[in-house]
Amino acid sequence: MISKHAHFESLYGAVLLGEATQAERDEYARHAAGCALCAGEPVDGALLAAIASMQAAETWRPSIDRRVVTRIRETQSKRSRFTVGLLGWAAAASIAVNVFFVTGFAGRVGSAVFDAMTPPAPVAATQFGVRLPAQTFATVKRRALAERAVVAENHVARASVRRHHVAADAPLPQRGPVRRQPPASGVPDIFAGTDLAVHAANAPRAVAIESHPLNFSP
Amino acid sequence: MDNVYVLGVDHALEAEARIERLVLDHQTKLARYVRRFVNDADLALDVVQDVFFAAYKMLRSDPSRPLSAGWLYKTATNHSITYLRKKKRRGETLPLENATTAFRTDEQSATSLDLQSALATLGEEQLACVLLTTYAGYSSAEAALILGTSADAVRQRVCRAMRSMRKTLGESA
Repeated sequence: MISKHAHFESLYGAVLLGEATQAERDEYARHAAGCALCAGEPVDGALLAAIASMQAAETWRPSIDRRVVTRIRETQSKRSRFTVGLLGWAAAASIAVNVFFVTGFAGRVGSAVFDAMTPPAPVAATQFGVRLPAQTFATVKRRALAERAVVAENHVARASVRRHHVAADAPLPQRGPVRRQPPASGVPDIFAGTDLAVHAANAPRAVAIESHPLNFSP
Repeated sequence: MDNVYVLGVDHALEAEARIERLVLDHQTKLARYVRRFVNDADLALDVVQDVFFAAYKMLRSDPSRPLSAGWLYKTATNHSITYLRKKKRRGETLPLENATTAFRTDEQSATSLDLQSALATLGEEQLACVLLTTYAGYSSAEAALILGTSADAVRQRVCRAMRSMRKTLGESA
């Protein structure tokens, strides 16, 4: 909703532009007769006519068709260069990805990344052996230093468990003085009460030493 | 090879052909209009070139889209208003006595120079209304469509622009 005077401004503009009807011209004339702002305003549109005549007086004839066409062609060649370049890069990337997977390098890299992200599994040592972490690609993969240390520890632990296992089945003979074994039941202990009793290991030699030949007189 | 169809190429060729026709038909009037708007011949050529390039980009995406002279004037007006506002923000002011350097010697009559100087004092919206309705020859309704406003608003701006120009010309005289 425009104000009352804004309406007459619009009417005055229509009069200047030659778009007003006769009724609108009369309405504006009645308003201008009693309005201090609009009184005395020319309604012939001479100023607008002067502006319109400026175009007829102009002699400047710019020609930009070559510039526009050149710019369009440059844009097209840029787009085609970009497209060709993009296709080239896509082909190169495709070949690289193929080589990456065909040579098995992708598997090794994936395994290494997986191992790096996964914490090492705890080694459970038992009396009869050592449970080692799963060794996927054990023959082809390059082990990291930390993993090598874990494997070395596993070997040491397994060797010690083996030794412990052997000792449990057949204990090693004890060093030091060997106690004489008591004779089987029913057999008389001929060494009982003698010095030989404490030298059971040397019993045959002791017998030879301690025994005396019998002297039979003729 | 006559029937070879490459995706996008025919669109580009059609758009290019239409743009060439548009440029040949409208370049002179549009460049003069923009030169009156921005008061700079070289800048007017750049603006008009941008306008036709924008039209080309639009036609490349949709070659069947109708493109009228009104669209060209609307885009040129918007580009010019953007430029004038940027210039105002940067604080670049062109003295009125130097505003005539944009025009050729044979165009520099005293009346024309005075009018151009008075036009340069108007705001962008009033200038657009005055140039579209008087210089480019559009009606107030058509100018309203181009500027995205009402015909009443266009007439009011013309009215106020005339008062302002009369004052400027009266003071300079």
